[in-house]
Amino acid sequence: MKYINKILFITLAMLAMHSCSDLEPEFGDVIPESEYFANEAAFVSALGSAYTNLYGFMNHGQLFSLDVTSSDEAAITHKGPDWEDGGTWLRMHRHTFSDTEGVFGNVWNFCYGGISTCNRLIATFENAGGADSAAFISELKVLRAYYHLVILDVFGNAPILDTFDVPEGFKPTTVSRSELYAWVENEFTTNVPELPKENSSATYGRVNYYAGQAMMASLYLNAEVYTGTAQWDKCVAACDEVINANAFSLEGNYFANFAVDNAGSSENIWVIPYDGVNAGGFNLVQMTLHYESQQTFELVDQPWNGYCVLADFYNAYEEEDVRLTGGSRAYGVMLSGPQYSSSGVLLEDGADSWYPDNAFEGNERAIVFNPEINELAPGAYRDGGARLSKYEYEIGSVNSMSNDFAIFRYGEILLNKAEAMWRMNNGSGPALDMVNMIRSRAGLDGFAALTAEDFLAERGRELCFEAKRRPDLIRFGKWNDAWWEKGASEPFRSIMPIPADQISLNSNLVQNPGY
Amino acid sequence: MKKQITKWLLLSCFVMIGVAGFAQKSVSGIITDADNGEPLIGASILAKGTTVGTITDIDGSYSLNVPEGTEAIVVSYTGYSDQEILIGDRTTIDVGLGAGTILDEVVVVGYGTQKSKEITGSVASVGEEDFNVGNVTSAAQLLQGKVAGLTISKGNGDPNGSLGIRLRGLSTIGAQAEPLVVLDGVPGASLSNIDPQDIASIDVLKDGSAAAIYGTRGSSGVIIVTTKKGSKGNAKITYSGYGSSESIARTPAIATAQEFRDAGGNDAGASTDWYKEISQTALSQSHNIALSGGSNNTNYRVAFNYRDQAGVVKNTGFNQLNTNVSINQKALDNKLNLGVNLIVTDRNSQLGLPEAFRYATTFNPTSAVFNDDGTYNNPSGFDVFNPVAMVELGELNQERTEILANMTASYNITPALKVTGTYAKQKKDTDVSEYYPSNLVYRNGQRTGTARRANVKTSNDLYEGTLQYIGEAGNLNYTLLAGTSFQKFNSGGFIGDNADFLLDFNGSNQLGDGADKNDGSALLGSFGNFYRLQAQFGRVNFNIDDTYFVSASVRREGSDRFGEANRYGVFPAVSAGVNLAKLANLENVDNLKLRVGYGVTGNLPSENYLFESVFVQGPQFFFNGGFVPSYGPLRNANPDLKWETKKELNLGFDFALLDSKLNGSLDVFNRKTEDLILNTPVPVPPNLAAFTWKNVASLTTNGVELLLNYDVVNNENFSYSPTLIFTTYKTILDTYLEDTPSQFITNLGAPGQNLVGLGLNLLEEGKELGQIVAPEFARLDDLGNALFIDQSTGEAIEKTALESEDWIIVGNGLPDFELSLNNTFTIGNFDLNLFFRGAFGHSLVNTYRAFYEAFPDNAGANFVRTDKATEGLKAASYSSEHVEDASFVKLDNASLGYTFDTASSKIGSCRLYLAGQNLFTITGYTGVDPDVRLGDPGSTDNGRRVNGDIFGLEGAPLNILAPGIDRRNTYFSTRTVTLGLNISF
Repeated sequence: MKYINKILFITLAMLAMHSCSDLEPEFGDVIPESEYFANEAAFVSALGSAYTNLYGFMNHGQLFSLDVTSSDEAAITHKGPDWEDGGTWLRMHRHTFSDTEGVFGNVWNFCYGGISTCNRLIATFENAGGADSAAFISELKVLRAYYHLVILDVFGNAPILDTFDVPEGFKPTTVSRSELYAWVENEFTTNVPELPKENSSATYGRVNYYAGQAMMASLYLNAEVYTGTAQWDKCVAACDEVINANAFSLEGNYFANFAVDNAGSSENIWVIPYDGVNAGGFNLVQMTLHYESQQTFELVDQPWNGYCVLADFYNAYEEEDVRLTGGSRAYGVMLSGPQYSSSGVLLEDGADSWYPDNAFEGNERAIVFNPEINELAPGAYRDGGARLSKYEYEIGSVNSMSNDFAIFRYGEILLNKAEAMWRMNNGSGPALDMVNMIRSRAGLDGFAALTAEDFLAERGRELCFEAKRRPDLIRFGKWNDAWWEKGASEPFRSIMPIPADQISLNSNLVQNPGY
Repeated sequence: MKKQITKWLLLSCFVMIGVAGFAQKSVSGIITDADNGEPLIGASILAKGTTVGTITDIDGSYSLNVPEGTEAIVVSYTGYSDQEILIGDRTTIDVGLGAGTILDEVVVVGYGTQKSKEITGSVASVGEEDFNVGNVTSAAQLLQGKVAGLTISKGNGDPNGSLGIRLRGLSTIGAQAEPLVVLDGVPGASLSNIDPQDIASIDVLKDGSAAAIYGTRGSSGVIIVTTKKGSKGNAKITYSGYGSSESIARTPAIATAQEFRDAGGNDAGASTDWYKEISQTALSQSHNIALSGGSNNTNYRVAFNYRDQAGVVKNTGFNQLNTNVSINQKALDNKLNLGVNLIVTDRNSQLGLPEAFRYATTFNPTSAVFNDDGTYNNPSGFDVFNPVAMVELGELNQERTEILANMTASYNITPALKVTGTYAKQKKDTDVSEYYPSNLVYRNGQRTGTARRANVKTSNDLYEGTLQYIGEAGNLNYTLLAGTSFQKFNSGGFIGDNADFLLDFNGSNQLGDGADKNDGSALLGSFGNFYRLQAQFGRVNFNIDDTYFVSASVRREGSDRFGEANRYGVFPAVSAGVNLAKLANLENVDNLKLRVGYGVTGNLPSENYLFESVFVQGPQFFFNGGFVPSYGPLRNANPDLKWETKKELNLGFDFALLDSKLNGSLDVFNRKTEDLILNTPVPVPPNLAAFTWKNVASLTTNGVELLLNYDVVNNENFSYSPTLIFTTYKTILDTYLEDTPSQFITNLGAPGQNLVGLGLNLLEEGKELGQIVAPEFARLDDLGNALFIDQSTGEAIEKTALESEDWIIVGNGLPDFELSLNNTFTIGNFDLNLFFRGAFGHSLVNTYRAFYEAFPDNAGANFVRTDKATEGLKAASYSSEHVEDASFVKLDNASLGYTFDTASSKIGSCRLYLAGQNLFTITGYTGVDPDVRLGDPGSTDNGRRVNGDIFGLEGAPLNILAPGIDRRNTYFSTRTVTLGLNISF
């Protein structure tokens, strides 16, 4: 008995040694949500995650890639084995894409990830209460509607998600494109008026009243595509809210809007304030430039030699167009011709043999961005095709560019309004004047009259590489036409497929017709 | 805390006084093998005519309180003759047992030892005499091919690389896939902190019933390492040392400069053998000095190990100091036994840039290493780097210090009842410094010098206590064990990098001097986190008449990696065995034991805090005219996350036939893992992120393992004893991610073979793990581009027209079976060992061929030319052609030794040996090394670091679902010749 007591004691003592732990976790390098909202600055930083989600816009394989590679602006050619990548970029170009292309999943997650973050923060600020919270909530609701607008534009029929508080295992249901349209419109009309009518450094990069109106202009401009019912007058009204505010004006120098330091542009309405150090993600410098262009711009990393402008798109510019020539800038919206290092040495491709016909002054290895591309695949010359250079390349750039990317700018608002007026049979007078303002800035003579063809072409030249070309082609009925290395595509291709992964995860999603 | 210590002291005193009051005669001593003086672990000592007894511990020592009037003790040990010894007045009785036929050995199981005849689970033991020899630098290397069911594979010759260890295949995916290491009783120990020379034996707990005592961490098996200890007797000095020479065993078949010219490649005018330029014959040495000895109450062993290891790539290798001190002291009439063990390892590694092999493969063989002005020749181009510049200029060094301090105290309250307490602390400090000087293009681009410093510290504290009672009743012997365990794990680290230095002179020693920090583009970061495990466990072992054996255990374990509701799991096991030879008198059958065991084990998630919504800083956000940090959830939290569990049924036979000339064991197992913890795709919306860590998926593995040993000849002058080990298993993915019955994984890489939406491996519900997929090669078109079979029409189509259905299964990265054959000969004083190892039926994706087989016109890069290449291929495109059967047989290890007669000298023993490793390989595989690749490090292109390898410390985290990919950054495997000497005084 005596021993049993001792054993008991020892056992208890051993247990006592461990009882200092109740296994409540100690948090080292993460902050439990319950501890996070400790001060006001924490609420501001929490708001930030709704915006930083936008940084994905200009990544390779994201929204920009979807727009540019599926339109007549550019393609990612197969330069020998390089950029073959399972053929996905070929299928995007030829409109033979399926629901398994990675870019669709990326754009879907970009939008709905942003939407869920907005919903989460709306709930957070609703709980917090107060005037600041109310302002944040309106802002977040408009941002949430913008993400839905992208979904509406790209995927057409898809779910609306307007709350964070969903039951366990909740799987949202697809609604029709017109239902989604109606919801987005209602969100805008309800919440945009609550936003500050201020355009200053305090609202830079944020959704203000004018950003909201620009979103609405975009929604109404494409309303006929989305719902079958045109809303030209509403588009004009939204544009007027921006134009009449006198907060924005056309920059005299077109390229001021795309400069490395373009924060002072009087034209940019809503930007993603990219920064090489603080706000990375704008990787166009890597995506389009040739490996050897590293020496032209003294780039820190070697570019990837992917995106090439299509010859017809290049040729749609008149020779004297400032947007093509660059005017006072060394290069226009596209880089072409022989390429030189920053010290003026002709660049050569030292590796091997994908460009033998592209000689310059007898040098077969010279790197010459020839706007004519020999073929899309598999043997595209490595230096074939002009390169995208609308956004100024900073000398010594890291692979994330510091140029702010304008999702909406004043020049587009003018063209949107002009188009809406023209569609309502007001093609002369103010509409023509607005288009000619744009042409005049580009150093071109004005049009005498407006035709659909001119309109589309001018929008193309002005808004190239701003992720506007795909909806423009669709609205003008040209999306399914044949172009270089692409046959005519089926009408259903104007709505992209719902990503296959999501369909298999959520049985309430409905695949778009044709896929 | 102070109060607790006081309480402890009081309690300890109380216990000691209490026990001292219990008057009995105490006898203690050491039981050894009379032939070689080695301690016998688990020998039983019985007070004659009573039921009072004990068994010897790990040092062969025992302590027994014999009832008054006892005249003698009986010492017995299986395979040895029993001895009866009169006690007389003595309190110390050491016994040397004469060897009979050794049927059984003692096996170290969790929290104790067991005689091999009593083992009912599946346990394998490998003693020092069976270890691999040669230039063996890691403990796992000792075991390669030695244990049925244990796959150890490296597939490269990197002196700083680690070996993949897999027991019975994969039984987890997202959690710990390698076995738990228990070093001298300390679970979760680091194998790299033990010098192979100091290891006495390794026991492997294979099945669930054996491993369940380690509960939550036993799912992938348990490897128990026992280090050498001192024993009573004259002080002994042992020296073991060797020197070795290592060279590249095999390279991919690339064109020489002349062949390249002849084939029409761009002639740059020189002739360079790039493989030769970056490699060297690696000379290595190792020295081990051990001092050991002991008296009645004390034994000690101190070992000092030095290794200087070079790699075949210039400027790679390491040197290492390791010290291992162990002291055991008995006190209080031998009732108290205190043991202290301290192991310290200090290792300085030159990791270097083994990726140089990749660039040596493709670099134009007609290019010169240097330009005329003496600078490195580095023509610009995508993914073109001068490999000689890489190995000569790139600095990637690692300094690692590991400490294990372990103190164990046990006290025999009665002869049968023992209480044991253990405290152990482990700490590992790893420091990485990297510098890429301004004249190196690799990892610099246009930067003028890039530097990085990183430091990671991991540590854990272990507190364990057990109570053991050994008893008997009639012909029943039993052992009862109860215990508690608490372990806390800490990890933390720091990293900084910077670039653009004015001068290269200071390298990474002046990290702050770089200009990158001025604009904020330098990196600064740290981490630190913690988790804990807390457990109670118990076990009963029954031995009925040495015929029937039963063992049952249970461990209840909790971890703060789970939310409150799911914190604890219970892991039970039961096993039983019967020695049929005892029941029926079978002719020529000396032992025939049938075993059956069932056990449940668990696995932890691989990360902390997955159950809780936690915030971390994200990118900067532009607010009111400036950037401020954004904060948001790290991931989707899953409060319902719970233990992953594995249930395993094992059926086995152990047998000894024909006067124990033929020995062996056969095991058949079925294991099923459920609630696998995986980062699972979830629908977005409504989730924030596209993945959540959830309990999904299940795996089943069935396998057979066989070990056969036959003493063909065994006499004084000549013996030959072959051992055959056979392993086969198949792992089926029963269910996979919710709503995702199949998934392509892994990517080939740049240039041009980023497989968007596809992959090299396919996971499919109901199918085996390890499936390798590829489009089926058809023929070349007129331009020299590959065409592929459209599986629905049978026609040859372009790659871009292929659909996912056209990617078919062309192999499996895991072997059908593995075989090893060990041949041991002794001829007089000579001993010869030939060890063959093979794996059969697995395939490898030969990525060298997939990328570099094509030879375009005017090629500027070299190409890989094998007889498997397709003539005329102009553009690389991955296909079924690049997946090769990699079955192989290797002469993995061969040694010839001579033992000098030392009986007449003062030298205790002396042996000289010559050993060779990886001497030849028979295989049809055309790549570098046909050995199994257990996991995939991923692709590293254009100098990019491997994903997740931010701290650059442990190499790339492997994707264990993707076996069978032979990557381009594989460090070529090597052949080693070693001359060694073991001598003791």
